[in-house]
Amino acid sequence: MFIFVYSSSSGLSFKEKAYARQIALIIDSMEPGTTVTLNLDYMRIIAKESEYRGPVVSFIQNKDGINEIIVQLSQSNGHSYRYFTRIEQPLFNDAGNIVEIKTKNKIIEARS
Amino acid sequence: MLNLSNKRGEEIIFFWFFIIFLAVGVTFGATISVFNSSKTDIRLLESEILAQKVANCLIRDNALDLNLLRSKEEFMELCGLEEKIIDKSGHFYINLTITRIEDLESKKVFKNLDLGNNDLVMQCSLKEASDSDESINLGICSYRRVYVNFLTNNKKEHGVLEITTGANTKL
Repeated sequence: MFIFVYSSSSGLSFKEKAYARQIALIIDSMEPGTTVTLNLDYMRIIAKESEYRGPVVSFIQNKDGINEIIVQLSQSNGHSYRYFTRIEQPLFNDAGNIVEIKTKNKIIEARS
Repeated sequence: MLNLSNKRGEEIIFFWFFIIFLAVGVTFGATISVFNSSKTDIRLLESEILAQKVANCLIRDNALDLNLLRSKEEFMELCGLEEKIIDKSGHFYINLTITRIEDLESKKVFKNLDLGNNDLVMQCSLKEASDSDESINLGICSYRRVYVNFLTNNKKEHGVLEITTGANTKL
């Protein structure tokens, strides 16, 4: 309980939740065949302040086969949120601070 | 004589101290949680994005592509939507209704496609009818009504495409 209250009041769990949902909304609002590049530096600075040096953003498929994004800014489990848009495997740069997300473009292929 | 070694009073005080401390902690945590949840409620945005996404996918130059509506699976695949989330998770709903212009009065539907949790339609009606605190967990819906052209047997027809989308994900 103390960990929950501390985590809530320090805003980290809220930030994880807010960032996960923001990124999910960005992905869901992408049109087929488009690419978005996200800079994760700001999240990494927050994670560094809480002495967490692991990946701040990861894309997984949960046990039900649903695609989710996980934002983790501390040693906690982070916050996961699902997105309903089909995307290619996201590409991270070597430093892990830039991620490129590309949507699948079946509709464009079907029309051409 | 008073028994100064009796610790019973201390135990009672400690018990009540613990209860009060627990109550304060739970109240504090719950308040923060509820406050933060209200700021991260994206159900309306999700529902609006989904409606717009479906409209953008189906309509091109004011023409509706009926080939995309041959089956649920084809529609989801071609419009880039994850079937497991939209159709199976129970958190989303999509309804597409196409009505020919001449059938608008009789409300005879030319084509209808229903995906996801149709219980959301009821939830949205209840939510729109009531502003009470109990309705906070109900789904949120978005609506689009677009006049479109479409081809049937190489014949150009005019009609109305109605899109209803709903979202009810965890707060």
